[in-house]
Amino acid sequence: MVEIRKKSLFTRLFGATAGERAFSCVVYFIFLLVTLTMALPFLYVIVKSFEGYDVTSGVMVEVYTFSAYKTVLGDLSIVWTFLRTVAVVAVGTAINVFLTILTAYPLSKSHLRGKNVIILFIVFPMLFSAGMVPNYLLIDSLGLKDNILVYILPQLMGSFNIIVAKNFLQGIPESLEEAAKIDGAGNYRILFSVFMPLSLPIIATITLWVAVGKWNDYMTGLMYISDHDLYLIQNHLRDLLVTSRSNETQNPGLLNNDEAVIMANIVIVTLPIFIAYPFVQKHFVKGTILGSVKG
Amino acid sequence: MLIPAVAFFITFSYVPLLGLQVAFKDYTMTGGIWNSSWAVNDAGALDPFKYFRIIFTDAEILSKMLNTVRLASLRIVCGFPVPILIVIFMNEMRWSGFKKTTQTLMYLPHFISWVVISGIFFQLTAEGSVLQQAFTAVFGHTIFFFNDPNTFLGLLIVTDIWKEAGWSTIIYLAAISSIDPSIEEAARIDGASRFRRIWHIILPGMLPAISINLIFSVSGIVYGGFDQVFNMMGENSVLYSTADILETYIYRYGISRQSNYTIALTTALGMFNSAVSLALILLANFFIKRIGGNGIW
Repeated sequence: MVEIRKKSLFTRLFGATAGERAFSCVVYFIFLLVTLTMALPFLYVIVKSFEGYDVTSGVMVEVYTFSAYKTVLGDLSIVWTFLRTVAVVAVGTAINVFLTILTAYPLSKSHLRGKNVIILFIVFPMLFSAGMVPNYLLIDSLGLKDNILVYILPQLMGSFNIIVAKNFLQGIPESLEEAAKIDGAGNYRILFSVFMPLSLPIIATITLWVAVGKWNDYMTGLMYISDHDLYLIQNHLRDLLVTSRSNETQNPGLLNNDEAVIMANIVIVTLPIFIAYPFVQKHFVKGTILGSVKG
Repeated sequence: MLIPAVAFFITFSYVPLLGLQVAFKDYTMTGGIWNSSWAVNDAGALDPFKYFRIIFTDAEILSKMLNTVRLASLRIVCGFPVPILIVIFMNEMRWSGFKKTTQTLMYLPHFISWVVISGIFFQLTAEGSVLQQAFTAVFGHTIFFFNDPNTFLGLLIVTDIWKEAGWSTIIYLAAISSIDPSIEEAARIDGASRFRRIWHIILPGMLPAISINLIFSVSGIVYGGFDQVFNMMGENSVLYSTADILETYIYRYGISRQSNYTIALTTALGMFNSAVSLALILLANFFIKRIGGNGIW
């Protein structure tokens, strides 16, 4: 009778021989350091955002309070900027993803004539762009400066996402299309009722890419918006950081009472990503691997 | 179905290409892109390449080119091997729960903007911070990265690795997971050491992904990482001597302090940048295919 001995937890985590165990210890130590390096800057910001001083007893005592958050959220213009950003990101992402799939779908068909020309037409801007200044002159001449549409129109779709979606759609059997055609469905009906439900993984991934990109976009606001009533959250934070930095350079060493407020701003701007991240991480990873497949 | 895409790319990607003619013109506000006259030299003779000549002779612009290439090269030399090393070590890790936690944390900074991250690192290295106290204890003095052009370059490299190295591991992890486990098992039975398994099985498995990443890195050498440098450097002119790159220069003179002269000049500079990057990506692709690797097309 063969006796199967279950390996102990220690052996499973560290290996069986002395050499393997020593190596495992080194590896765990390295990744412990990596983990700490990744986590500590974030923890620092979060802790600092709650720091404050209590002077009610007559002596300055360091305490943990929500006072920085009260200061930030007490400014209604910041709350409005936050909500405006949420709206722009939601609308912009929805339109972007819809148009990306709409474009990718016909390009995924092997029978489309002139397909390679259109793909080159879409990919070329990724390889050669006109640069910052001609783009600025274009937006200026279209009258999009200080116009909320500037957050949406110039970013209606992206070359890279179209190609990724096209590659995914190519993996869905074309016989499904033929079957639907025989049943009398038109092209749009086939896309929305047959192919869209099957492409949910790639739609989720592209939605997340686009939404994060839009949430983090400060450049559009910086280049084309001077009216603070049209600012998005990254521009608000950037202005705040630039001001606090020039104060700090002018008066080095001066106790910076606003530190907690700055940290609270950083936390608020990053909060949506922190909250969503644990739930959506797997879509990001999956989609990136899908997108890296050459095709 | 393709009409919106064609209209979009024509308007926002191809029409700006027509705007590149500004690089060959003496731009005026009233003339705009189309009605400004072609560039003339000091003697009044037609000289469409005037601004390109200025790019290659102006000492300030040449120093920005040097900064760009220096920074991008440092990034490749210091940053490129990091995700590869992480993946190799991570592949040897047996404790999957620990592995997952590390991965989750490593991917996170990729999704946070440079605006936020520059703010975090500025506060982290500000006077009186824990980090500065540690520097004082170890080196006997503080190091203000944001006011010192040399150590600032180091900070740029380190923060870039901090933000992106974790995310870059994904593509290598995918490559490793597609290696047939029976190959490794066979090697183990044949008595191959850990090092030999990494060298002969794991690394070759990652090679296609490594070569594609290298193509992108090398072709990006004229882009020094605008978002990072722009946000970390701010308007601090002390740092310009090492950290001011072509793109930040283009933004400063082409957008924020633009004049007729600088609009033409920075358009020419941007065009030069795009052309070099296109040439490099074609060249890198050609070489990698030549030595038997996988190109990007």
